[in-house]
Amino acid sequence: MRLVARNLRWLLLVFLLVAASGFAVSAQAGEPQQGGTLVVAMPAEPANLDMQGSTLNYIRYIAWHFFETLFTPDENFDPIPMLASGYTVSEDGRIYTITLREGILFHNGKELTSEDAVASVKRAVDRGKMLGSFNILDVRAAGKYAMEIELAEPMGLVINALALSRTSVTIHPKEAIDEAGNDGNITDYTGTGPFKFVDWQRGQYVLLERFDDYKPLDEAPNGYGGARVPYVDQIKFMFVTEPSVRAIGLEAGDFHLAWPLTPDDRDRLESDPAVNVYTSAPWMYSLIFSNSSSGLGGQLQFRQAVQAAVDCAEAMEGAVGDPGLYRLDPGIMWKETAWYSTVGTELYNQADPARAKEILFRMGYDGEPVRIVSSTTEQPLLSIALIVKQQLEDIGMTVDLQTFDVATTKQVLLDPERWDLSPLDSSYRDHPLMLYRISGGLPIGWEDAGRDALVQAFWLEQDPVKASEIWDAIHGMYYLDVPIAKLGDFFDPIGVRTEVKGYVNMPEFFFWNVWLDD
Amino acid sequence: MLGYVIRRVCGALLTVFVVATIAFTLMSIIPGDAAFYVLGKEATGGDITRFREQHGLNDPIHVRLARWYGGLLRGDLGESITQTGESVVGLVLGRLEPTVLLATFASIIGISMGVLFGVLAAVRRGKLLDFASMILALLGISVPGFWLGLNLILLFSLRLGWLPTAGYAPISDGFLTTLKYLVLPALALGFSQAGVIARMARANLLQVLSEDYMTTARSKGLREWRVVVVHGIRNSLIPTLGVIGISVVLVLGGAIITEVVFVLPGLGSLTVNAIMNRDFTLMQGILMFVAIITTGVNLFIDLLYGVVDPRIRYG
Repeated sequence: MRLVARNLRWLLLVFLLVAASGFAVSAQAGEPQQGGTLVVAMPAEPANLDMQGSTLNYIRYIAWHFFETLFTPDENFDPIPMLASGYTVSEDGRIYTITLREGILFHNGKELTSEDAVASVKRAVDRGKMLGSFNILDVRAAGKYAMEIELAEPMGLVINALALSRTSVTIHPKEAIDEAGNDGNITDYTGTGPFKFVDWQRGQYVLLERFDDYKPLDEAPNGYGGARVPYVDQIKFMFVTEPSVRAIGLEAGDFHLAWPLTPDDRDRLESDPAVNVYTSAPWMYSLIFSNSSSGLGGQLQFRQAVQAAVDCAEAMEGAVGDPGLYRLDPGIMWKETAWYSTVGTELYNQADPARAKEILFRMGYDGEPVRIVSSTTEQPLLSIALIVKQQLEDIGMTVDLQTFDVATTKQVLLDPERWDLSPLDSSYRDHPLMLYRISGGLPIGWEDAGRDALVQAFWLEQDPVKASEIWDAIHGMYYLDVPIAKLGDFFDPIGVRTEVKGYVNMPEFFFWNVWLDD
Repeated sequence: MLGYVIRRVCGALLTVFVVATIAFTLMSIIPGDAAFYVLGKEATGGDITRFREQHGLNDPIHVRLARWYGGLLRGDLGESITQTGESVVGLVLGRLEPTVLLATFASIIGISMGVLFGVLAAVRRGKLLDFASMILALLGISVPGFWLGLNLILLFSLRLGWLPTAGYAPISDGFLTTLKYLVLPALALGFSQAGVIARMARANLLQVLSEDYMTTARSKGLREWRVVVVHGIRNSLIPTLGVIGISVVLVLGGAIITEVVFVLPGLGSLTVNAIMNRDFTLMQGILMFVAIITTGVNLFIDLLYGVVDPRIRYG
């Protein structure tokens, strides 16, 4: 009996120990944990990692893990402090004083001060990015942890410009700015981000590792901002051009994330229990650009006829196919952003050949060939070009579709004598500031004094309600003047292994707050 | 002999000069440039102009040509436009290892498989082994390497989990580690080479096996395997070697697609990216590098003929 009792005590002890360890394991499962190398398969390799030098998203998806900005968009795409702790604006609206968070270290151990912030912002201004259009008189230090931006006239969008992912006013050590100069690219990848640059094997990968001295914000993650905690030891961005290889590698577990997936791979991987497939919105939209400066495109009635003839549903279905990967939406700014508008959108997706023919008749169209220029390798652009060509021929236009490779297409589009229409896609913007013909850039044409006055007022307006009203008026002009004919939004599917935890489905992916639970 | 050498060297230099001029001219007339690749499609006209000025793309053509010739004389093939600050020579040399290794392994696979299938088909002419070998050879010639590569990845990486999907490890990481990444691409590339070699090996061996001296060898009482291996294969390899030599060159060309599929950072993928991104300097440099190597190898072989065969005298 005594023997049994003694054994029972040991058995009970063992049982309790096993139960406790099991409880500990289950408590730890799902908790963030450090460790592992996250492998990301991307379709192309960037030319450099200088976010200030380019708007390319390939650069940003890698570099914003080690470079940071003063402000960053939250989940509503509104700017929130990142390296800045806050800002004030002078009474006349011309001087923005931005205070920096103290104790922020660069990856080389140097503390971030206003000297670095001033040098970085000045470079962004001098390189003619968004801030270059703000008529900035001076950027200067106002103490060790404060800086001032002085404008020639009051503007309400400075903080937005500092936050936007495409303006990428990244903050670098002054020494790195001096080394790069205005004309050269940043090649010193020292930043303040949660990860630091380790290696770049051209043609293969970029490797980052966790920055252990990183200080996350003491607040919850919020969109691209809030706390950014680096959990994984390393991130490896691999350049995998072939889409099938990205999908197979994801299935095999060689990649943790594969972007983008083809619609066929998406359908297949949705049934794979080891993979989550996301479509993130907003992403891009397809549209038809008119050469509004000359030729047929320079005539409003021609553009109105195109707008009336185009069947957006047919174009998007033919171009994208999978209904889960596109939506018909008329907004020039994306539905998920605070700047979404529906003014003028009764003219969207008319699909009215009869009306289009009537407009052509009133215009006196004489059969002059309509030159549509498209690249052969960018989908869904080529498919859209083919579909729109047919739709325009159905209303009696003579269409000359000219296709080239990407580089040649872009060269042709710079020459207003060579084209009338071109399908293009536009990646999403946080703010109308970055839209075509608001900030400048392609395409050519659409010179309108009324539009210019509205845009000028938009830039200067500091009251968000009034700014929204001005934007609505500009939005209406897109539909009345038809410099572009929007077709619809589309999305890229992204595959993520289930062992990747903490992933947030934002339009542009990032890997802070992400860990591996193998 | 000296006169022969001088003439050959002068001919090689003239060839290099002509290729350099053609390379430059071709790059100059190709529309588009690297600006949009580097700056993004939302680059303004001002951004593009500044970029072109920084890289001398707006300079007059005769200025750019003189700069090109001057660089060549100094052994400087220029700097890549898209890979900022990287010298073309450095980029090309840095990408040689994967391409050379891939071509070597693919050739080993292709030659050994090709000769084996060809010999088996010849000695078992008309039998099942002959048909099977020739069907495999035909598949090797017909199946695109791209498609074969993807299916090899499906089988060995996804289904079996034996090998990585893509990527590369340099020799400095260990030979076996490097081999792990090169097995599938080498198989994909070597299989097509094997098909070509197998057909030629079979045809050549069949011809040799029907020669009178083969009948003599058999009548002397030699075993059949000795007749085939010692007398047949050795004699049939001479013309087959010619095909093998050509196929090795073709493997280098096929490596371009294979490197893109398997994410191998070789000269092939460098060339593809340079073309797609309009990196004129890099394209010119790669073209010149290949031309110089080819010219140099041909010059060496020409000179070797003169040494090996005293009858070759043009002095």
